[in-house]
Amino acid sequence: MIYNMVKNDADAWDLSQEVFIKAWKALPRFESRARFSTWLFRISHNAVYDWLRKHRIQGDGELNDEVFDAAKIEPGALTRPKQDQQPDQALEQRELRQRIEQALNQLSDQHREVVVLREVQGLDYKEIADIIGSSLGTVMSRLYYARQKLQQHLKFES
Amino acid sequence: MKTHNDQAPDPADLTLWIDGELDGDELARVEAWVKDHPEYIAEREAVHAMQSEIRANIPASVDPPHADFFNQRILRAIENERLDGPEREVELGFGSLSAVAGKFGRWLALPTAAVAMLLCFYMGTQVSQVSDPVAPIVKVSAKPAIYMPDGNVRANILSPDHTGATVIVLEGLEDIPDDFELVGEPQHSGSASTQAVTVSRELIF
Repeated sequence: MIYNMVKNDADAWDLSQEVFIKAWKALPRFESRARFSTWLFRISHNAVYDWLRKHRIQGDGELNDEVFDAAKIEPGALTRPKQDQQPDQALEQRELRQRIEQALNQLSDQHREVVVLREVQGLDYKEIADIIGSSLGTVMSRLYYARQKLQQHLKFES
Repeated sequence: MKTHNDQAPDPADLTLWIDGELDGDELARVEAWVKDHPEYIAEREAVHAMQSEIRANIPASVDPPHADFFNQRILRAIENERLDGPEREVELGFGSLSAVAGKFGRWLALPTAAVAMLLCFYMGTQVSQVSDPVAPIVKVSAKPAIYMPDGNVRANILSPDHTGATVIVLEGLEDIPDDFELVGEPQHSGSASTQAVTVSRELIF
């Protein structure tokens, strides 16, 4: 989830570590009303939005080409899932993945987050609402428009 | 919600419908509306295809590139947090003291400042009294010193008690030449070449 939000390997791992440390510190305050994974996602959500806010201020007006050119940073990345496919299949899947990532990256942070939580992480609406601190209606509405935009971007990419 | 014949369901209901989570009357209403708007059926199919592609290509989790290093860094950070946290304060014995100081510090700040101002005022009055010009002169019994530009000349200071006078005797002076004119009173001479020294009784005895 963090990687899909920050779009940068090194920052994603740094943030992940930060989230684990924050979770460790906040563990005594964890109440079993929510699932542990939801609670951890909630901490991740806060860390990611802090990061995005900070980097938006620092990088205001800049366009980081690498963000949109996944082909430039992704090949050979150790974070890729292991692939035991034929080279042509692997290439095709890699291109498809790049297309999806590029389309995701063009969504707003709020839209990207609900899509990632729903489609990638497979969470239900209630969990997503708890994580992002919004109502169920907001989650579903946001998801509807996010999917529409994502489809448009994917069509454009292809 | 939502559906009269031409009123579209709201986005939340459409999301539930696309995800197959609508049931009962709500589902019936949306299905009835969608019959007249087949583009929404196409949209639902497109979303389902997109979901499949995303789930097949974007992993829900990935392993860190160097898991040992990643975990070590977290453990080290947690260890540092533990050392810098309350346990270390307890270990040093400063934790409770600093907490108490912090708690009562703000209440003590105002009276402390007032006392400090009064103390400064009192010290200020004491300093001005010392430098008062009408204060009695303290007698200093230091022996007077006389500066002698010629190192061969020595000055002896004599202060006989009964006379109340001070006599300075110079020793080692060169002899005064005979042609050197000494006068007892100021003299105004018309000749510029005449060397004259005017002395007063206070200097020559």
